[in-house]
Amino acid sequence: MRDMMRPYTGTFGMKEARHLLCRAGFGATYSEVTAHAKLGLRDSLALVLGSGVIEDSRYRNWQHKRAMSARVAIRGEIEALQGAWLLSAVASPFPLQEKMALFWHDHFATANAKVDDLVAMNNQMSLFLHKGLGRFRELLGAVAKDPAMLVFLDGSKNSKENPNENFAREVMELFTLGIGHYQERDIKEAARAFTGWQLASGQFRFVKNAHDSGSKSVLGSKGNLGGDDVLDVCLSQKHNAEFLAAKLCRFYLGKVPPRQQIIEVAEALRQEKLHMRKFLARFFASELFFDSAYRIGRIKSPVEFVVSALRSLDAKFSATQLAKRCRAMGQELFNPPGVAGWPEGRDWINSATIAARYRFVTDLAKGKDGILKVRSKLPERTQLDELSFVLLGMKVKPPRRFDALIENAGFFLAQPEAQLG
Amino acid sequence: MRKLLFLCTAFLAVVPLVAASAQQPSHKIPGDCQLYLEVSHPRELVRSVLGSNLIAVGRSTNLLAAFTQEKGFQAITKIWQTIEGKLTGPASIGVRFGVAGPSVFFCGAYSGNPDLKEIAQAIASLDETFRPTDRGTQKGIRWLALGKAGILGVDKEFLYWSERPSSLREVSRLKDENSMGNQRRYLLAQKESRQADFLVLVDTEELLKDGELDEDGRKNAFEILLLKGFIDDLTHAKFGYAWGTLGDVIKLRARLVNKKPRSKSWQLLDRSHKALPSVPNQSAEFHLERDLAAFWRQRIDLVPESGRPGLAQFAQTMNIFLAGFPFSDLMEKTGRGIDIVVRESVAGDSPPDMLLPEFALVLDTTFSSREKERFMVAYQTAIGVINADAGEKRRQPMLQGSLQVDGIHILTARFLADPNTGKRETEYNFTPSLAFAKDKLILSSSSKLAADVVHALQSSNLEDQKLRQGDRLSMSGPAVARMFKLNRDNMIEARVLSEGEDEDESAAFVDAVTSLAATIRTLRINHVSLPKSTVWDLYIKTDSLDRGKK
Repeated sequence: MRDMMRPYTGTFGMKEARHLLCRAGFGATYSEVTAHAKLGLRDSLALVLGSGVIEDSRYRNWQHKRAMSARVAIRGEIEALQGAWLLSAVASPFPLQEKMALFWHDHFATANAKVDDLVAMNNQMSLFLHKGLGRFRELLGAVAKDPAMLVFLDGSKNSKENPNENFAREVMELFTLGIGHYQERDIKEAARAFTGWQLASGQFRFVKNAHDSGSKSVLGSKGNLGGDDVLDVCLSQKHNAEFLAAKLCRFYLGKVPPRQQIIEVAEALRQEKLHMRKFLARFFASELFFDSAYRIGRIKSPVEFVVSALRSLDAKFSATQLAKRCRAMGQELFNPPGVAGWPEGRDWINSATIAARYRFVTDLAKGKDGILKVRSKLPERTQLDELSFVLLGMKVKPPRRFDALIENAGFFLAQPEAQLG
Repeated sequence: MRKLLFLCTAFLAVVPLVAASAQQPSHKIPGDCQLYLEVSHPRELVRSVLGSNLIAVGRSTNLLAAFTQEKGFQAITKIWQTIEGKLTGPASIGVRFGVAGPSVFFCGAYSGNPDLKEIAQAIASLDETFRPTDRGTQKGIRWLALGKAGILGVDKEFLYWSERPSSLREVSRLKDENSMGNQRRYLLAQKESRQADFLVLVDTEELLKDGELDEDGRKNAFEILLLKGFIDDLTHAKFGYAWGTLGDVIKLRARLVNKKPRSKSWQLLDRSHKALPSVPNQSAEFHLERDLAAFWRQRIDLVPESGRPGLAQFAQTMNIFLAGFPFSDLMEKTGRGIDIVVRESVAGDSPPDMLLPEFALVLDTTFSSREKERFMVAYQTAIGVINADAGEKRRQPMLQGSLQVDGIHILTARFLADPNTGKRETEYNFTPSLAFAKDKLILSSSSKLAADVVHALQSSNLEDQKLRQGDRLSMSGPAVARMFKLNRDNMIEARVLSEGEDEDESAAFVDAVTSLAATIRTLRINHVSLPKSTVWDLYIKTDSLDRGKK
């Protein structure tokens, strides 16, 4: 069997550019897709990975929205915070960064329903944004000491008299290894290693007196292990790369590839020392990423659906309304339903959520909660083809009754294919 | 609600800029036109709109956003430059709301050469984007498509322009004698507006058919209490028209014609009442005639099912606070006059993040002295509960206090300073206060305003106050503008969140609204309900409004 992580050698045209921009980010306008197609895979990928020159006003606009998140978090307005994040994802000149932040928000699922501190939640999201494309070890270490995570998994109350297994269990089960690759005793021992990791005035603090300094044995490693040692031990397990590879494939390809391909992706991850930007540079340029088996069929999450609709159409929408719409579609940012994050794939679609998607599309086309910049006075066949291509990935002839371009946008977004990407 | 916002904005944007004298229109209105504006001197109107910053006011609306988007705005300017001087008589602007937003058309009496070549060539030379294409003739109108600029047409009498080709069909109806549904309404409106400078005709039934307003007005008890009477006016109206005269004082009058009698159970009252004495530096006063006792009795019918548990919870909480005095009994002793006094806030020791104005709610009551005392105790209990909650939320508690003004005891409270930072919770300039004076209950966001209201009530003889009927709102534009300036950053942020706009766009909107408010020296709104119609009067006294000169 051929290595699917080998560099992609096929053509890089409009379809491939759209595929890259949809999966690595949140879609793009027709002109952006055209520009990327002209650049070729290598240069296009360099832009996606954030090495291009960004227009100053665009960067400033995005920074303003990031700063706004911090202010609304202080005011304790969760809907505004959700909306501000969505707006920043729409405006971001670095969509891959935002997309990875969304991935990590799901991977390290933390809910404000329990944390009850929006400032901590927003700081955690900033952590995902800043470290999400760096080394996984660095991110894992920071998340393990993140105040929101410590509160969410009861790590803040971890002492040698009363070691809390919750955090240790999730580190192994959900963050690094997955079920079946550790024993119950490993969790008990790891919990002892994490003792003393506490919160003081909302910040992480290591309380030496509360730490169990005795000898522990975790996943075969023995000694006076601390919390950071346990994280290193987890990452040194061979299952760690495979666990992450499967999760990344499910997120970016829409389904988990066969085991052999997972092993190849995991090997690439190991070779890049779990550095996400370096790994994704290889992944997005691989035969696997452009394989026809994974080009269609990935159902967009609600956040991806609304953000990609707005980015593709260069449209605006009320931020607080966006947050409400995402919730109605089944995804409430900063409040995942459990420690395992949100469901994926076909679970996003049911009779209630598909109706919510259609309502959003209708209101978007009506301009009910925002203005569509795509508005054009004279719809022509070429423009409709462009619109159809960016939203559906194919040329579709709309019914003749639609006169304005925005109505056609609504028609295209209501198609089943628009839910995929 | 968005359509209503559009109407209000369009109205505010256009009206102060029109300078005209009345002339009889000679053209007809399309049958399905939902908003129709007629002016005698369109050149001045369009010039004013294009030249002033008021165009930015419309950024939030679909219509004016379409105008101000770069290409469309340039197109209108260029078309105008081309046809300027060729319009001689009255003109109209019509708007039809569709699924894809409003479509706009313009029609003006034309005395130039009906050959379009001259105009087409002039436009084509301006920008290659607007290269003209002859689209042929329809119902006597010769049409010329102008790319993204819209579509231009001409016949022997009129020059037509529409920003969207789909409006071609609508504009063509100008020539159709059978689609004159609006003509009867127009004639009716014209009778009342003979001396007016302009006339706006609105098909309210069509505009509000999706029920947005009705839904908006029934979300919770407070909105129902505040808005339901006004919303009933709108939702029961067949159509409306507004006309006005322009001068140093701009007078606008609007009439809504009802299609059926409005609900008798809950409507605006028009009882004459004594004006509340003004307090120093007052920015605005809002007056409402609402029978609170009747509202409380009818709450089950008035409030939707989803809002009833909240209301029951509120009553239960009040019963606990009042400890033995049933809240419903107190509600029976409330009167009909509700006044809201608004005043500019003055920054305290530490600059606040958000400088909201101070406001006071003044309600007529007939409480006994014992009931007044218990109500004051209930207030203190409520502050205690807020303090208990503040502990959980890691916020600073409020220290209760009191002051005496003209022999009246005012209860108040203020946030304690943060022991770590020394800062006080000044975000909302909040020193909630409560007092009873002259059988009025005063609930104020600020102890200073409460003291001034008490002093104003105690030192004036209410019987000597002017009797007034239907006055709803009086407002000082510069005071509102100052408040907008102080809260500029917060308003921009709120708009970014609510509209999804970029910072620059929001800033342009906020600045434009602030500029507009600053030009209005005073604004007064009067409202009278009649059996078959409702009349709104707006008096706007402006400062240096540079009409049509830019």
